[in-house]
Amino acid sequence: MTKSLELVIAIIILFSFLFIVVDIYEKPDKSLEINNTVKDLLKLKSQDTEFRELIEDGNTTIIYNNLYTLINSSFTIKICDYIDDNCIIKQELNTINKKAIDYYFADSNKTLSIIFWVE
Amino acid sequence: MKSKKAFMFIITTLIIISLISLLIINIRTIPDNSKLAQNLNENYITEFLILNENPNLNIQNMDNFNNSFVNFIKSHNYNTKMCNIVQNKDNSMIISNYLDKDCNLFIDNDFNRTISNNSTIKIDNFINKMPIYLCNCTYINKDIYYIETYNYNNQIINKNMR
Repeated sequence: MTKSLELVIAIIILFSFLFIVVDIYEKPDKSLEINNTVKDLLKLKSQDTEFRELIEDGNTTIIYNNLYTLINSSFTIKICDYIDDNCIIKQELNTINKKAIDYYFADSNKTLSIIFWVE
Repeated sequence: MKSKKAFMFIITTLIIISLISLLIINIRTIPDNSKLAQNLNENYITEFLILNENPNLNIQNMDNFNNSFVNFIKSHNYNTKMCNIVQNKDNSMIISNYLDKDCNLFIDNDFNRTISNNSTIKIDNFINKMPIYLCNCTYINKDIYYIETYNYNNQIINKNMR
């Protein structure tokens, strides 16, 4: 009787453990999702001549509106000359939890940063 | 006595399982810095392919391109080594060495010259189908890039060589 009770408890523990492991692994990593979508989008946009011209002109409002419908998260953008000079920021973020993806446009020597705030 | 042993066994199993679960959760939450290196490399590759479509490609803009990417990658706390071999529309070859060392250039298995680090050269009237070797870059009828982005704990290499 004692032995079968121990066996039942051991099986319950084992299944609980397996359930937790599978659940953790199957849960999509949200930050990774944002990263890949935006990365693909940047790759696509970088090949668009009109978009590159907007970057060269540093027109943050039009670029933001251009990306707004395509990015399903709260974000802002920053365009800098080369690495971090003369940056034009669409909207300053006061939150500490922010995460950025940079893309460097070699011909215009400008960097576009897409900044997300993480809740 | 037996039931006490069994109880201890279950408790020990529970503790081990909890520790393993915590470890798995931790591994999932540690940010993977290699993704940044991969992003930097992909940025380089996309821009390299766009630059190659430029009909006015010359030594100067290829050199500026590589130089600015070296600095861009450094600004993200990574180091980089890169080289590229590109055939121009006028049948000339533009060859860059940013591999952090001087490299010997071989054309069709013959030594041609040594290309110093952080420099770009041009070879006019290049005869097609001749292989070119420059350290990590091997050109055989296809524009070539090699980029290695690394820091103290990550190293990502991208190349389009066969």
